[in-house]
Amino acid sequence: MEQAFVILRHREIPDIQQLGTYIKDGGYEAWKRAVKEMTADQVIDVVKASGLRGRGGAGFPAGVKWSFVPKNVFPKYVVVNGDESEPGTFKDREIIEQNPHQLVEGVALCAYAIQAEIAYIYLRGEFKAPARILQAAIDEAYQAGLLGKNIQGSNYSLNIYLHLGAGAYICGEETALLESLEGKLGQPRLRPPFPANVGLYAKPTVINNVETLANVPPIVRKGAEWYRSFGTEKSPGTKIFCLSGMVKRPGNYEVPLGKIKIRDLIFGEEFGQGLLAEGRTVKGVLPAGASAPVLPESALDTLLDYESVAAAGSMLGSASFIIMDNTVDMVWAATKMVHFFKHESCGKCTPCREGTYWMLNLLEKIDHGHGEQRDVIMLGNVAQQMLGGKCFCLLGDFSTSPVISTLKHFRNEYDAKVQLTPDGGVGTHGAHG
Amino acid sequence: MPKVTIDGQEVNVPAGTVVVEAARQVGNEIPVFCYHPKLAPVGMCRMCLVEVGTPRLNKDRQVELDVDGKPIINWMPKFQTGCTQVVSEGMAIRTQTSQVAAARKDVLEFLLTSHPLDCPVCDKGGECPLQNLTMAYGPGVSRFDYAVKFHFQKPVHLNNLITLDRERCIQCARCTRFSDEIAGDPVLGFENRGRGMEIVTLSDPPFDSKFSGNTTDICPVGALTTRDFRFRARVWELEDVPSICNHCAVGCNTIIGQRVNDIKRIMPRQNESVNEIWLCDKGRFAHHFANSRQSTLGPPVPSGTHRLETPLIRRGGPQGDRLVPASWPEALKLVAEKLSAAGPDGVYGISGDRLPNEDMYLFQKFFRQVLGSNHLARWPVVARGPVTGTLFQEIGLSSGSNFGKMGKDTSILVVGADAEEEAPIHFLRIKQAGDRGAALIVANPYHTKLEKYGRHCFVYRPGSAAAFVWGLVRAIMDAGLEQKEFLGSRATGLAELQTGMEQYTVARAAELAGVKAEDLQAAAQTFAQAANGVLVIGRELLGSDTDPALPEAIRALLTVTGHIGKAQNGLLPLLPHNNTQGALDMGLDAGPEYRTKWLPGYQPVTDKGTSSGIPASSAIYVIGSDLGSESDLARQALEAAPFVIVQDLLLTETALLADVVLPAAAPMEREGTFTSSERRVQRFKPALQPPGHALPDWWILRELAQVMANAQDKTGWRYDTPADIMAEIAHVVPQYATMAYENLPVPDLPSRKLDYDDSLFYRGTSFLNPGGEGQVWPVKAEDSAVVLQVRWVEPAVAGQPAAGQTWLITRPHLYDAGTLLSQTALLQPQMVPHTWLHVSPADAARWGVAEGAAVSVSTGEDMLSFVVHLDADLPAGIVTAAPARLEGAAGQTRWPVNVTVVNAQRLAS
Repeated sequence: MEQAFVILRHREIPDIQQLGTYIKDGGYEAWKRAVKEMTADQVIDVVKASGLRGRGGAGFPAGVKWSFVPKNVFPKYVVVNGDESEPGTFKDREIIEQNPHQLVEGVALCAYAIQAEIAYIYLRGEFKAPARILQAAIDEAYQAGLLGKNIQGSNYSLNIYLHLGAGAYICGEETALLESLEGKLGQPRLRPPFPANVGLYAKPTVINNVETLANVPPIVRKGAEWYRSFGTEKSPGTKIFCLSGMVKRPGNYEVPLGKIKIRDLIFGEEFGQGLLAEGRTVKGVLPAGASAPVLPESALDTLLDYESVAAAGSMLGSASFIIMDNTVDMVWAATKMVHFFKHESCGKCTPCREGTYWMLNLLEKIDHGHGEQRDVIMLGNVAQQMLGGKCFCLLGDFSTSPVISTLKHFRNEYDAKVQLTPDGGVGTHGAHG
Repeated sequence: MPKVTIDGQEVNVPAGTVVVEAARQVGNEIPVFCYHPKLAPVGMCRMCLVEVGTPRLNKDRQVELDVDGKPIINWMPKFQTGCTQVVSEGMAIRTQTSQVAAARKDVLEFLLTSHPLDCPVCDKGGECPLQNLTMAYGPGVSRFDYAVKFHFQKPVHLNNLITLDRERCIQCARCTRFSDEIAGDPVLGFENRGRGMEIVTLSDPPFDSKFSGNTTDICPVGALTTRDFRFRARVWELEDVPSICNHCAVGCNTIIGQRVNDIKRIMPRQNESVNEIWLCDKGRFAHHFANSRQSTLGPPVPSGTHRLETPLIRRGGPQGDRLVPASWPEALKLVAEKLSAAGPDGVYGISGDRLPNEDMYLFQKFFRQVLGSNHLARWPVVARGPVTGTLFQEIGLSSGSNFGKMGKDTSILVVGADAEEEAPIHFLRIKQAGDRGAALIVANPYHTKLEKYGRHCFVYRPGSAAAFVWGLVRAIMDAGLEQKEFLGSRATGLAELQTGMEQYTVARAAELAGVKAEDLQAAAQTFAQAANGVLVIGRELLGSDTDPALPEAIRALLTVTGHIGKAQNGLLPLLPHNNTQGALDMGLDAGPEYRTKWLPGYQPVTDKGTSSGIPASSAIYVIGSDLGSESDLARQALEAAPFVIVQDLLLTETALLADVVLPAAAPMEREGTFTSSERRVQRFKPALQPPGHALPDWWILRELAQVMANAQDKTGWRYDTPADIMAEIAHVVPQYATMAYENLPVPDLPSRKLDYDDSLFYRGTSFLNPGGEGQVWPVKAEDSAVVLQVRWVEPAVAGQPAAGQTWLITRPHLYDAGTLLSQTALLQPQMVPHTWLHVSPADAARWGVAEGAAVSVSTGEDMLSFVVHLDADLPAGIVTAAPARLEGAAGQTRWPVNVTVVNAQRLAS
């Protein structure tokens, strides 16, 4: 199975970040056709028919999302989620840096589809260099009459603005992103109302991931059928997999969904080319950064599409695969990940604010060899105690994934750590009992 | 009205109701921390988790039924927050399952992991929702390792009144939402994230709000406490006494927390018709005059202003005359002798307007019956202008009106009033009505905070309020928007009005007022087309220098729009003091003349003697007023009088001029009634013992009358309690016919339940008001037989400001450095000294003066000295000073007046 470059076009066409090259490759054809010949609904229909699913993590059909936006409320907004804050995710950065015009065209098509005249691209605060590249592309598009007032002689006008965040994981959550964009503290909003109805500045808003929108120009240009020729029935198209961890060749790989297995991604000649160190085995795979439950070696033959990864007990999410070999201490790894969530918990709701802190305390205690068996049990309890609708947003739920999945698959490692304590892990309970 | 089932119990609730509120209707209290019925729900604390299900529908969208004929419920897989989940038809809610109980326990355990659990030293202890809910739902013991509690430096002061303990904070955002949504002061926010998230103030000066104390009431933990109450008492040791705030004329209901004859704190008492559950910071903190010697916070109070404990008599001695302590019989005998000797024409009585109704009634009765004199006046001169007259009792805000119920169908026109400064809780409720959709029209000679919420806003030329209001009347008539049917049966003089106004076009009005004609027309349309209309006027229009055309313009505006005589309609004056209305009702009004015009109940006085100042008298009796500190004229009159009696709480500047000083009890040391500017008569109860030998004013007057009536009939002066006096008022004053104490709501002592209690959970630590909401006496216009006379009176035109001119106008401030307020050291940073002249940056630049510069201005007749205070919100060409300063300082000068700078101290910049 080979890679297919629907989005990572620069892998085939050098200099595609320049407007001329991009246009030569068919760039902005879809955009020009849309503003001149297509109605907004026609654009939505093509995207709907393509089955394109949101690439930010949730996998919600993009065209369906767009069709939720009310027709008669103005202004409306398109907001592009370029926060790319999930650990191990670096696909949006490559799109922005290497193929920025495809993103700009995708944003424009989305805006046209919902008849928004303003689009904001929200990039994480650290993306200063990518922001310069993207801004240059936007400027070029303006100069070429592809953005701005009365585009291509039509009645349609569109302005695209870039905004840099201040470096908070939670701002990748779409409603927290909106708060941040409005200049407020980045904390998620109550839903309903959903952003499609009450979004940025309380107006109808579509929020899509960078990768999602980069898919749109080729879909509109070449049609839904062409797009559906990649991937599976339920997960059409290609997906960029961010491979990192203990593999020989980490990087972004664009592959049709449902065509290769996790094993192929790690060991395939044109992918990861195997583990970094000889003689080791895969111990755990994080399919979606720190948010998704870790998969054990037994899951390596899972196909890479939304449904298969979910069936294996995890989720595809943003498809950032972090590979851990058999030398990795899974208690240590869980501690690292929970530390991340504790650091990034926004503090809005009680269970996440307190639960992440508590889990980290227990994990550090166990990891440092001061834990007792009852701490391991309590760790599981605390994680479970955060679930079931207790947390305000999914960050809280996600923060339990490293704990629950490592306890499920690697309980022996926890047991080993607490057995190192002087009392053999039984615990006197005297210290604080 | 969707029907929902809560734990098997069916209830119909209005669409849009959240589950927590629906559950309350069936007596099911779902525990909450962040939810508050006065604030928008946020779903942050997660305490109110419930199980929610909706009926399963078949293909035809019909509810599927089970074998018992009951709807099959699709239960949602996760808990929902009851504070954010809006009900829908057929929704089922479970709040009593073991899962819900476990969830509540889990959330509480999480909350307590961060909490310092310092209840034994926490001021909230005993009335703390976190404490109470932990007892009710908590896990009992925490499994959290105590050694790793999160620490913050503590405490921090959010402003000079409010202290924040960040370790106790549970991040519920009640305080930030109160400031944003209710007070309109978005000056609090969260900073940082996770467990480090903390409340910070974003304003300079910090937590810049006149309502900051309310955050301590609604804080569900001890994170926010007042500097006043911090470590002063345990709440269960307090005796909670229902009272009425004695500062402004809103009449906020309060609870005085008393212990060992000391006020430990004042909190709001819920009255949804008056103050809801709020109280301004002045009402909350400015009680220290009662115990003015005991103040230990901040700088010491001005010397000589401590509470009077015995009568004082001026006696000669080696060091000259001075006031020395005397006994009550001695003092009363001397006063009786002097008043008798002065005779009916030689006496003069001056009453403040802060006293309870009963005392003011007895004061005027003492003069009229015992002394046989009508030589009476009320001080201050403010609210003695042409507008005050009988206008309030004729077209005042109708009984049954409630700002809390005003919304889309109401327009509120605010003219010449800075509501936030003059009556903060009225400001709050007018703003809230605007938030609910009421059309606010705001017109002032300078910018006010209410403009932020106004649909139409005007800054009119100083002194042109009458021209402005007449302009609205003309615009309404031009547009044919007058209520013709109403006018046909309820008004006369309309034809003459139209003829009279012929030359007074909207354009003319706009020119005089310095506003745009089309704006005037738009505002007139909004006001006329609203189903309900309220006109709010303030201090600027109540002065004795107000244009005599103004009352006619006001009556005409409310009559042609039909905004009178029915609930949610009429005129609301923001009167200067807590019982100005009561003073009017008790026959203590005076016009610009220094003689009373009415007997109690607005019966005209027949001997119409007038004078242009305090008349030369043999004996002057001042009760509850520090006029000597406010007015040079008054001071001169007092100095000239052979005998002066001053009855007051403190040894004021006025008292220092007296020959006899009689120590009076403060409002919180006796019972009585106040009448708010809505004409709501409300009872209050005593919380403290008066200091030393001080006595209630009515008691002193009774004793004095009995001494003087020695040989005469004493039967009229047998009052044992204020209730006896009110019983007499109910006979004498027609408006008070139903106000005898047995008919007024009894301010019952609220029962303080230490366990689970609705009032503690949903209203912070404020208290329910089970006794009712006070009685409002109806105005004449509410009687449909009353016909209103409209009359055209040409507005007097104040001089037109020309380039380079400066107009001096009066402008009230909440923290006005008055005699009572000055006793509260805690509020010193908020004070606006009488010496300040507020100057726009443009004028300051023109004069070449900076902040703090000394400046003297001339009105032509008077020379006034001030200290410059820059105010960026003032329009150029207008400078403002405190009413007390201008009303007293200058002779016959009328405000606004054109002033010139005579001498300005130029500070190095």
